[in-house]
Amino acid sequence: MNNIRSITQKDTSRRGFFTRAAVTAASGAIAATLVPRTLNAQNAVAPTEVQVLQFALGLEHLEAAFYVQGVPRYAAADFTNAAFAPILGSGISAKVLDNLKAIRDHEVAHVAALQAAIRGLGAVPVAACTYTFQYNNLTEFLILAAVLENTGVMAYDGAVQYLTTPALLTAGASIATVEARHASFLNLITEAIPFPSAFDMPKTVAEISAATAPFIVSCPAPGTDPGAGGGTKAVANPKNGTTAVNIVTLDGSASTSADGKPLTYSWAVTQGIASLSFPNVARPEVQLQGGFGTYEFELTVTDSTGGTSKDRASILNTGR
Amino acid sequence: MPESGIMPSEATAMPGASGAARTAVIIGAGVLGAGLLRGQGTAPNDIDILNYALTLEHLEAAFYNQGLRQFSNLEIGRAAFAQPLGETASNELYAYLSLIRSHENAHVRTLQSTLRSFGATPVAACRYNFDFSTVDTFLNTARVLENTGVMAYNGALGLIRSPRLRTAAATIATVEARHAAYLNVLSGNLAAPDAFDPTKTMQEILAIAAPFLAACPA
Repeated sequence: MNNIRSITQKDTSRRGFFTRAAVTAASGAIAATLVPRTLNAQNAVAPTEVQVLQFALGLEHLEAAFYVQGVPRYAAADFTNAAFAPILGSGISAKVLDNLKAIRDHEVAHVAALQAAIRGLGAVPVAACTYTFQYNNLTEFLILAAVLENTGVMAYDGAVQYLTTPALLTAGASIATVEARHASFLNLITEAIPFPSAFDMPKTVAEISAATAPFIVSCPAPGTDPGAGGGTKAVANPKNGTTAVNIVTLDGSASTSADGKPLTYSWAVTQGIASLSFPNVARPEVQLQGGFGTYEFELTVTDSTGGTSKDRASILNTGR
Repeated sequence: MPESGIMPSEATAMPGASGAARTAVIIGAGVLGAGLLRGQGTAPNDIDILNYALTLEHLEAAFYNQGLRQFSNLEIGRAAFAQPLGETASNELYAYLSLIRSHENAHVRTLQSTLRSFGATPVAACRYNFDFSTVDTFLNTARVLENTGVMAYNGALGLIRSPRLRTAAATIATVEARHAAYLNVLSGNLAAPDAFDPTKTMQEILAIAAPFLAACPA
């Protein structure tokens, strides 16, 4: 019983922080709308399925940008040295970075799936906005992540009633429960209750838009679709490089992002026997293990909207 | 592995039901399933789906009600599960399991009252077989049950016709997912293993639940 009481107190103190965080963010940001204007009219008219999907995409853009920008700022040691490490124990804290990378990948995948669904319905997916996320350290980053994920759960729970196509409902539900898993994990590691209520709270589009407005600086004009038309371009180097040693560095740093935000990188070996220790950085070292011959590598870059581009690098190993 | 092969492969990985109990209860689940599924090819109505959800919530509620009666705070703290946890997380384990228990019981009550409000009769709880031989079996089964619950709700949501009931089901589904994530993390797994949670049909879920059902009222 003592445990439950202390858990409840924790949760209360956390709510105080939420408010502070929101106020801080609001002071530095120009509120902008996340969703089409018709959706913001207090939900007087039930939104169409496309509007609901656009609303969800707006949230997923925001979440994806948050993690794509934030996760690379931290290394494994930051997590094992964090304040929560002794509280959670080594078993959990050692896996926090893995969980955050998975969460980032999920949000990027949600963006791509929603864009495809919206295009499938003949509409132009809303583009990502420019965001402001204010945190000064790992703990603040994680607390902000928890705020965003719990908001995502409330948004999906509030929006599923407006979906009528069974396949879209199932997809929406499958995303909602993943957001809930993220929220549970982030609550746990930031010392809030992972599952504070028997029923999660559904919120309206207007409520969610108000909650996310402080994070949005500006949004591109509706109708632009950078994810569909490109603008993000992978550039993998060297092209036709030669080496006499077995360790070389690949270079994807000349790649460009449609919205100017950081890209995520993924390198793969497509020819030859080679080993990449860090396949998700712009300039990974690669060990050529197959001796003399041509080695090829494929770089895939992904921007904050989920838009991707690929390019190839090749190296002739003249050594033994 | 049951000889008949009617259970999906997931069921064979289920801890918590003894092999002997398994075959016998499949028949029970067959009866239950027939009541819920109204013959092949007919789409279930909202009442069917509410009763289906209630069947699962009864099972989960009974699981925690029995398990937490059997194991003390101290015993749960000694589980292999609890060992990689820091002191605070370990101390919170029992409290969080108790909180999950209260959620499952609240889900049962809400589904029962919703069914009654539609003039329908809520399905009764069954008698269950749970393997509580060790604390770790208990916790492993908890993890499987919660993840199964998520797949069940996600599989059923697209079949619900009433917008209001869709919202209610979604707000339960996300809570089951929160439970599942917590239990996943405790066992060293990713909180969210997939970008999209998998879904399962009623038939698949009832086959997974079958080994836990000892006897269900007619």
